[in-house]
Amino acid sequence: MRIRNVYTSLGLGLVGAGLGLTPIFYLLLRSVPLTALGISMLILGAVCFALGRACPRIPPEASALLLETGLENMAALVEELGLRSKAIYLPSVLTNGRPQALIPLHSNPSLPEINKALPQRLIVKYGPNPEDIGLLVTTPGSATLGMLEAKPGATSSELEAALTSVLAGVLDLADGVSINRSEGGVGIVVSHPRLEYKNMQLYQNLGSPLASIVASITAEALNQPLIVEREEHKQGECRIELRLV
Amino acid sequence: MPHRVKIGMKVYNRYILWLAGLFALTTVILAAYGQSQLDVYFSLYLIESLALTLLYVHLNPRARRGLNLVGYVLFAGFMGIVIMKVMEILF
Repeated sequence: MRIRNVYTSLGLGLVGAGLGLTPIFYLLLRSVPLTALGISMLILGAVCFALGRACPRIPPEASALLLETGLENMAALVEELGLRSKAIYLPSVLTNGRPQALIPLHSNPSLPEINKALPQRLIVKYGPNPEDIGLLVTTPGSATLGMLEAKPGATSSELEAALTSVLAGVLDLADGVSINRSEGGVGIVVSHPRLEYKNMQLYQNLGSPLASIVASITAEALNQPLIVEREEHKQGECRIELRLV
Repeated sequence: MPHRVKIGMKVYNRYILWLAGLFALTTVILAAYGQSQLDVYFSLYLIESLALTLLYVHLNPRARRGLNLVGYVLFAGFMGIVIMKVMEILF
């Protein structure tokens, strides 16, 4: 039997030790506290088995490889096209599917107003003017919505719960999330993020993968397009400012 | 590889450490008070594992299902203890 991960190995060890020691403590030593300790080892072993089965099947190294490859391809596309404008994270109602990001091809001081669903293509026209063309891309955040059991609600507490559930519970990318709503924007603080921030052009357009996940879920929860206005990484926390479009 | 690779998931590690700590503390306190009934120890372990699973609301659904299954088995054990105690009283 191939042992898949450290939790399964730990579970096996604890259950084995518990099964071996509990009868010895109870029958030979006649010690109730030690017997209870043996029982607690059995319970911990069962818990470790349960958690081992819930671990991601793809090893972290493979996941990092896929993420790196996807980001490099996207970065090459963005650099080749000379895109400088910030991506607009669109909720699924505007993309006919899952949340995606629109990167306008031309930098424009005034952000476009998108009020109808865009076609499912890479290069899309999002407005009436000839220059209203952009790239509609799937980001790391696009796929995370499927990790939630239901569409996140629009209140701060529901949004915070959804982000914490994904970032801390499912992906294990951070320890926690806190939300601060303001006029026309949302401030999000991610504590102890575990994804490194790289100073590259793609991150200036789309935001880092962490900001992308936060922006996608927030856009879906608020049902409004938004952009990653600012991202600040300090020791132990990441502050992300989102602006509603 | 720019992203550090680590062993296990932090949220799972924390859960296991908390549970182990609670079990150890419970055992030590009850032993210090001279508690000699095994079912008291077991009942407290059951309460602690159920409470901790409830507090960890952000665990992913698969982990939650697995932990709930462990909880059901422990609860079945608890009900077995209750039935035995009732039978002791009645017969």
